[in-house]
Amino acid sequence: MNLKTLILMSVIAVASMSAIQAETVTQIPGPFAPATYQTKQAALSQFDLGATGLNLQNFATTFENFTFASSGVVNSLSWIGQYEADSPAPVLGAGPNFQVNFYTSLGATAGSAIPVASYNIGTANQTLVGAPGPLAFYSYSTTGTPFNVVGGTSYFASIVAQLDYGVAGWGLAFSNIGTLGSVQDFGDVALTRFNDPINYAVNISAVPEPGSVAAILAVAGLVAVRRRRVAK
Amino acid sequence: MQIFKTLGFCFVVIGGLAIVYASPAEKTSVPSDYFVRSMDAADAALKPSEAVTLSDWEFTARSRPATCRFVD
Repeated sequence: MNLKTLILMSVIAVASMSAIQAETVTQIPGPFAPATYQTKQAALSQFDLGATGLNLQNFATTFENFTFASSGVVNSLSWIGQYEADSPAPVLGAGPNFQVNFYTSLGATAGSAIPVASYNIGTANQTLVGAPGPLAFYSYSTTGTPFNVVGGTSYFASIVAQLDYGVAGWGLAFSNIGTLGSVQDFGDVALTRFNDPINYAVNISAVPEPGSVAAILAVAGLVAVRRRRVAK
Repeated sequence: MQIFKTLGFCFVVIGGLAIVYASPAEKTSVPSDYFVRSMDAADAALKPSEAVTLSDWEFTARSRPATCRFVD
């Protein structure tokens, strides 16, 4: 194997590795530090299991937009949340169930967003982060929300606690990282859409689809074989 | 004796008139079904079965104005 072949193989290997590597939209600072918006540190994002009558169950939903440079599949999601001050202290590991939805568009009016993928997940590894502010923060993560994304296309994700508001209120923490802009549909008996110049503390990772990885490796292999034959 | 008969007759006449004029039916000038119709109107506005008690309100209502859309 001559030097030229070696260099070419190295370039192909590096290109393949970078293509296989996960791409992450990062909006959670490390180490975590709370962001403040209108004197608060989180926005309610909750489906009230105990609401009856005129009171809406889906009274609060936050949406965060994200875009990946390359096409792939979302393989992990993590976020930071907070319970309201008058809520009882949550039992670690027994937090609310969450619904994670992905959208290509939020619709024109509050409550009109229709998800293209929807997942019900458990306690999402609830872990106490600490209380750098007046209220404690908790971190959450899941790998159970696969979602195909196209590079350069903007999507939205919502993370909503499925929890009786009479038991506790839960919200998604704010973040100053990322392109400013988020949406919250909120209302007691009718929803109103709020566009806020703030982000939510959410990290979303995606890896290339298995088919794409296989194609890259196949091309790399063919090039390598051809180079070997030419060298002989 | 005649005087007692006259007085007795007067008592009977006056007593009878007093009973007739004091009766509610004679004093009421509204239709007899007035109260029934009033009850129907009130009933249409608020059925007894839908009456809201303080405990019901406290149990069902979620006080979540737009100013409360953040965690505090």
